[in-house]
Amino acid sequence: MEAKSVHAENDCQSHMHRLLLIPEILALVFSYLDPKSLSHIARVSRLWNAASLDYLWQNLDQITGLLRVFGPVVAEDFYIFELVPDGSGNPQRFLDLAKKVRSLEQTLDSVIVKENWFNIIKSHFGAEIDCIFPRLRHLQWVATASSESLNRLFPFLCPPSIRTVRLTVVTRAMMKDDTFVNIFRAIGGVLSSSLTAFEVDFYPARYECDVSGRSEIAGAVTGAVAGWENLTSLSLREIYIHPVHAELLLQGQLPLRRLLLSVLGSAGPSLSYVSDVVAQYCTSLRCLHLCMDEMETAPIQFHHLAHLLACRSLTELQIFHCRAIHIDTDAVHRMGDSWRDMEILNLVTTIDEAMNWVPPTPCCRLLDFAAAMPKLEKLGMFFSYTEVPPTLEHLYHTFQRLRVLGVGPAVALPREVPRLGQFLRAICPPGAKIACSYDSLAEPVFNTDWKRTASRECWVEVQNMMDFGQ
Amino acid sequence: MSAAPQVTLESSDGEKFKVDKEVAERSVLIKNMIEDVGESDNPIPLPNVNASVLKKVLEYCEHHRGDPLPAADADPSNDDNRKRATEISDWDQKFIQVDQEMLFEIILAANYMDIKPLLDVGCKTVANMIKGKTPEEIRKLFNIVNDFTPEEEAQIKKENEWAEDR
Repeated sequence: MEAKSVHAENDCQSHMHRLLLIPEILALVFSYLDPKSLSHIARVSRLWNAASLDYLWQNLDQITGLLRVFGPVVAEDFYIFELVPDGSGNPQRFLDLAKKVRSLEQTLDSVIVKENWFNIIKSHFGAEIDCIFPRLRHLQWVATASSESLNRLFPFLCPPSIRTVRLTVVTRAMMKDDTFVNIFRAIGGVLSSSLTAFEVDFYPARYECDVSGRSEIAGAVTGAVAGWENLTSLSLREIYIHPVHAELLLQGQLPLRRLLLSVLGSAGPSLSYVSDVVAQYCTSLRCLHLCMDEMETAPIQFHHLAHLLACRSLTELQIFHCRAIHIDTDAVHRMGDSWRDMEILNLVTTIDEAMNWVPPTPCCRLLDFAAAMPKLEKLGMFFSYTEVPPTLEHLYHTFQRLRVLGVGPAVALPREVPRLGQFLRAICPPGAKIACSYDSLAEPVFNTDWKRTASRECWVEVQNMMDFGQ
Repeated sequence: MSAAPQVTLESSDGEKFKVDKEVAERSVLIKNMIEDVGESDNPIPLPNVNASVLKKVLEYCEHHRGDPLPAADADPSNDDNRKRATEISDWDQKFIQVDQEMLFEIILAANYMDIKPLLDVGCKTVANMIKGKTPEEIRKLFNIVNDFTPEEEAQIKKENEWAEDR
């Protein structure tokens, strides 16, 4: 009897279901797994190893793991690492695995490998390799390199078929204009018409240079973008360009759906000009982010935005760094139902560090303005000062579909603080989230008054106003 | 009042199932067969699916009879589908709580009969069984023989070490 049961157990162990031998099914199962599980799968058996590696190496968020296959990567100091070409690795294996990579997301939090890594790999393979990631579709890269080495690095990373590129350029003090011009010439030369999204940002400091340099950079950006005829998303953060250059950039009539522009010059006329250009050339635009020049002090009036009313496809509008926003009583009437499909409206005014008096943004009129957008799901009013309206009754149930409301940083004068919770509750339907950019003045409101008055479903969340629309 | 059109399916072990045409057509294989052959009273043979599995598959089709059909061009390697949800709806979760043998047979049947949503539910379930397990636990779970030498396995472990803390 006992012998029989042992036998049955053995029998069971030797039996593997035929399902587990079908590569197509295994591929489907593995497509649902995270890198850690996939790394365990790769050690199960030869068949499972072969079926899992395509998925395991598809998305990389650090290049170091791959470089270690080529050779040891040693720490030079706490966060800078160096590739050692000592011959102990397996360069051919490195190349095979690199061919599987479809997405590489190197971020500011990632380990930085000394720039010469690609020179080492390049000189090892010589002329036989043009690009180490022939199947790469999505690249997020932190460029610490000089423009000259970027010239060589970009073709090495990006195949002509790449679809999206997000680039963070780590700026150094006194970086010269021609460095930026060269970066864009290099990028423009490599990336081709298959590109659908291009984003560039600078870290840590906002890039500033003289006006002549700006036009040259704008020229280089325009030259680069001109060939990307399938571009649907363009984000130029911290590259402040003159409205005239914005026109040069956009008149190529790219099929843009998302656009982030940083606009140079005085708020009113520049915004008016850019609005006109966007309305004219970006006919399928859904999402527009405009960063205004922080140095400018004029408030924005509604009529500066009026050209944009022609952009009926817009579902998201965000404006950053304006001094204040004034919406006259007539504006609501004039906009009619132009923006009836708007889902996200976010307005962020300058935080005045010098503590100069900033004109209040009359939030009552803004609310009337936003009330003409019945599909509004997110409303951001990140104002340096927000007036709490004298009466609240007419505001109840203003925004039926609102999920997120953003306020701050200095939401109200101290004497109005007790009414603020009441006010926020008045305009939000139950269940809406309140996002608050943190401020000492806002704190007592959200910690005491708001939490007491809010219904149970409402809750407070601190959120970065720049990421509000994400 | 005329009744909904029905078709008869025949399992590998000869059992016949009479179901609404709408239910049977959740299977793209059967839908195409009916289109090719036209409607007839002859049972449609499914030589790769036995009665107990077919019964279970039809239970799924019955529950999802009204669902919109999935897009045929969904490519799993497509970047847009990259971050794929592993959530399974409550009903499906309950439905798929079967022993391993039955789970695997359902997946095979869904694959053969071309019922994409059921195939996905099955594969997600297998993926969830794998999550958090060591290679040895995975082998034990599925009776897989380790055909690596210890050196080879160590080499693979080293190569994929970066993924461990992800």
